[in-house]
Amino acid sequence: MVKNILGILLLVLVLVMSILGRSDEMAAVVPEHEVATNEEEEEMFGHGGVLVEYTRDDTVVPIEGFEMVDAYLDPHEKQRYEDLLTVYSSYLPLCASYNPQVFFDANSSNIGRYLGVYHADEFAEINQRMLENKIGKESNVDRIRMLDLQQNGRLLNAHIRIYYGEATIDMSHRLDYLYIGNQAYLFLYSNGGVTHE
Amino acid sequence: MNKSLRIPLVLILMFAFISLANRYLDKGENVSGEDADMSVSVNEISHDEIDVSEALFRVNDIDNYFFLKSLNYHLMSYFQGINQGDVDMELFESEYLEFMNLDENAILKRFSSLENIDYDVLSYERVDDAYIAHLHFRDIGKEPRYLMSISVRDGHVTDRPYLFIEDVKKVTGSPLFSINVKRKAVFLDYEIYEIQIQNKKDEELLVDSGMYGFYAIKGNNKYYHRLESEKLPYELAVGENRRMLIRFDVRNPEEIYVNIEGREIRIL
Repeated sequence: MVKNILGILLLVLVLVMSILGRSDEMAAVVPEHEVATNEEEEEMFGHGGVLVEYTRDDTVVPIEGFEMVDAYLDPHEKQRYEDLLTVYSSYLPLCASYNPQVFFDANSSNIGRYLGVYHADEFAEINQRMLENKIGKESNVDRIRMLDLQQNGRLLNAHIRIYYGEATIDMSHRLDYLYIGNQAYLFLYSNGGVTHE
Repeated sequence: MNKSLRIPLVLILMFAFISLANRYLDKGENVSGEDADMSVSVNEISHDEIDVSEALFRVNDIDNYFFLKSLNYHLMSYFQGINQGDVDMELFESEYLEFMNLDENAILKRFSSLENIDYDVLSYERVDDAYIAHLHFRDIGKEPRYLMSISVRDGHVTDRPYLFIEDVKKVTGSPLFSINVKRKAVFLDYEIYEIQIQNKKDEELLVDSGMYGFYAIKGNNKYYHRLESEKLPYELAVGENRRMLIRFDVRNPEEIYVNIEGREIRIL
């Protein structure tokens, strides 16, 4: 009787160990977007920024200092810009590759669509900086900080810092707002390997 | 324990430990497989993997949005170069630059009266493998607005509605001169002919410099010419062999004539 009970207990133990191992794996798949505040960083950059959270879409990335866009874009276009930044910051780590030329050749259409990069040498520079900043395809974007925004003619030149957990990367891009026919368009184009000084 | 339970139990335990051991060994393995020192995982060649929601773009026609983004990239690059006074000549179609004998100065000269150009696209159309964008541009905040058409093809632009260049190779000769219609550059609604004229006389050769010094015929219409090459007098010096770029605002004219020393010479 006792021996039979021991056998059953061992079976139960094996079952429990299997379930625990499986739950760890499931937890790693679900992304966690922690909204972190860092008082030291806010003091350093002097924006007094409050992380702006949007609840309408659970994939939207919080953008600190986004209110600086108000001087240049109306609310509708501001919302579009936020969407473009969400896509940009989400897609960027997926492009990490040890063969940037080959990767670009195979993915040039989407790299142009989501990152606004249309030249292999620009992509290679960005890719190199990602690897240097330890950003890879497993990186998940936590938040973005607007560092600077300046108008240059029709274009807006923006510098942002993207946070992927402990890793960060500063990126620069141009925002172009124009009419094509009767339709207004907002396009985001990377500035290659330009970093914010 | 029952002997009938013993073997199955041992097998289950072995399977469980092997599974768990494999799981923890996988975590420790370098994902990149090549450089054991790198701490990030990267993509091997992946083909158009999309892991973002295109719904975030909030446009009705996402494909058209992406196409226009690409088209505008080239327009934006062109005008950025103009505004900065630093044109990337590799942006242009090289064949067009060679035909028109254009360098950076010539391209910038067109906009010399403007400081900071802004543009909007009025419309665009596809012609063969080129996209022609019709736009108006101006100095930001100022009037007037100007119209122009830009051709974009395979990542290159021309600051005209350029389509292609093709050989003509039609030579007309006499003891006094030789006229070679070598090539023509075809644009959306006009053509520019590369014409080489050689003076074989012992004195000046007089080419009519009037509007109809060169003219084209199509149907019942007669089209005057415009000189697109360097503005030199139409008279050719002794022995001179001059390259001229002659424009007619018509596609595929049936005949082309030049008036030399009072005689109409058909050259095409």
